[in-house]
Amino acid sequence: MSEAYFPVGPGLGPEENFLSLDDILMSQEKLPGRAESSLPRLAFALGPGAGTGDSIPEGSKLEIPLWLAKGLHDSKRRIISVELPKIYKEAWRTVFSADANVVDLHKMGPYYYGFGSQLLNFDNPENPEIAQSLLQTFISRFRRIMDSSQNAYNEDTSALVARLDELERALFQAGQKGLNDFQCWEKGQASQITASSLVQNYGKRKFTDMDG
Amino acid sequence: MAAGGTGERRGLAPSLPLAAERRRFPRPRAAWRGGMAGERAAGLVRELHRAGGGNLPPFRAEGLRQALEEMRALYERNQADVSEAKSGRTDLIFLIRFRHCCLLRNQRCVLAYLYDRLLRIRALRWEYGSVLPNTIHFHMSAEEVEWFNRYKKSLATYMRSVGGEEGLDLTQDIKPPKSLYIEVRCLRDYGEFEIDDGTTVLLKKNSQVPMTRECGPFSSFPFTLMTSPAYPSFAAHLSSCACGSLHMLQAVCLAQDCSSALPDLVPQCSRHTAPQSWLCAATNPVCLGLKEGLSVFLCSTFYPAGNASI
Repeated sequence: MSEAYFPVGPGLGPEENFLSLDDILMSQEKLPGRAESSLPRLAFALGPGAGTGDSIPEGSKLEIPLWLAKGLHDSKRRIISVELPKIYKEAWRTVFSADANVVDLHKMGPYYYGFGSQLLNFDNPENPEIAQSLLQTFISRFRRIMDSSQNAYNEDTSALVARLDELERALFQAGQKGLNDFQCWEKGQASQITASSLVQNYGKRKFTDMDG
Repeated sequence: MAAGGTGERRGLAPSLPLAAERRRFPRPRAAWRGGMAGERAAGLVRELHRAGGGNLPPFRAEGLRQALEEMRALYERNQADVSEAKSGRTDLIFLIRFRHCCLLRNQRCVLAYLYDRLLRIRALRWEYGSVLPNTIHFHMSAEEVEWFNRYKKSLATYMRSVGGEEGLDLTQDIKPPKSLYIEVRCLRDYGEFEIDDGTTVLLKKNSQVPMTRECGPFSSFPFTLMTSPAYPSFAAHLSSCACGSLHMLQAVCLAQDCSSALPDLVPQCSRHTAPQSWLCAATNPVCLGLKEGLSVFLCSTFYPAGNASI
């Protein structure tokens, strides 16, 4: 892992970081919504068609990406109204409060926490409950992530990481890095002069025959 | 995708098989050829994000050009519509607003793409050094190469200004070195060698001599060019053994009219039979700034396996 590369990280809470790649990919995720007034159709290029012709009639359901929803949403709600995706609704919230560890958050949209935090930007009467549910889910899952990342040394971690969402994966990797650094120090490799991993990776791709 | 030809068909002919239906009711042309606005720019971001570990994937000039083209088209359409909307057509306001959102989105994706690449290129200077191998160069656009050169100059100016007379190379010794001296093992008889601080050492084959770290940029890879214009430099190809010790493989004189190669050295550690990994290929010679006439000597960080002292 390159140690001199410091990418712009995802934003905290309802704010996104403009230049963060994670936030851009997160805001590509789609959100269900309704058209509040008749919208010209060609503008959308997606959305299940409810009729032919040039406009989407009022009240029809749409799937819009988050960036578009944030751009078109305004408090007078003339254009679009957004609904919560099902995993942030009441039914799933009770599942999370029952036992959050068994849920496959990667399948439920790989940016569960980020996207959920962004949903708080839209006025929705359930916002406090959503915020609370996000927090509680994180708290109940955190312990397992921390334990597994600190104890899985030199093994295949794909099974552990499969059900985590992106935020949790970043945490897991941070834990793994700490563990690897510590083991490296314990073995005395910390003071050995080695090539940086970046150099080794580029070296491996050369066409001359080299050993791994 | 844009409106399909297969929406509700009340009152029209009974439905035909799909292909035939498409021929009979062709799809109206999408406003943007190729799908949802902002997809191309988001694709650039996605590819960059997927290249983990700080690697620099090739520069997608074509994708960038398409994204900018899309922005230009959106902008022009909006310009046209704004003047119409001002003269009364309020139904266009939604379209204008939509296009504006797409413009902002494209701008964000493109900026983040370029900025993240610059961050990776900056990391290359710190990890790789001043001279990048050609494979990385091919991945960079001309502007990025220009930026890299200017960053190098900036960094060099700053490092010269810090730390007194000769400056301080901040890119060396990123991890604090454990010892002041490095053991140096000679592969060939050389004789007397004078180090910069005046002391002389006798270099005989297979003898080991402790030298201070300043005698060579041995603390991190790859080595940076030592500026010593008075002496022609030797380029050295290095290899390393699994125990962490480094061996010089071959040295070539880089002086103007000289192209001699010093005889090949034994590319092996005396304690192990075969080198486990090779660090530099022939295309990336690094310069150790050896003095004129000096035959090769190699360095090793001596950390015997099994020694638990830290």
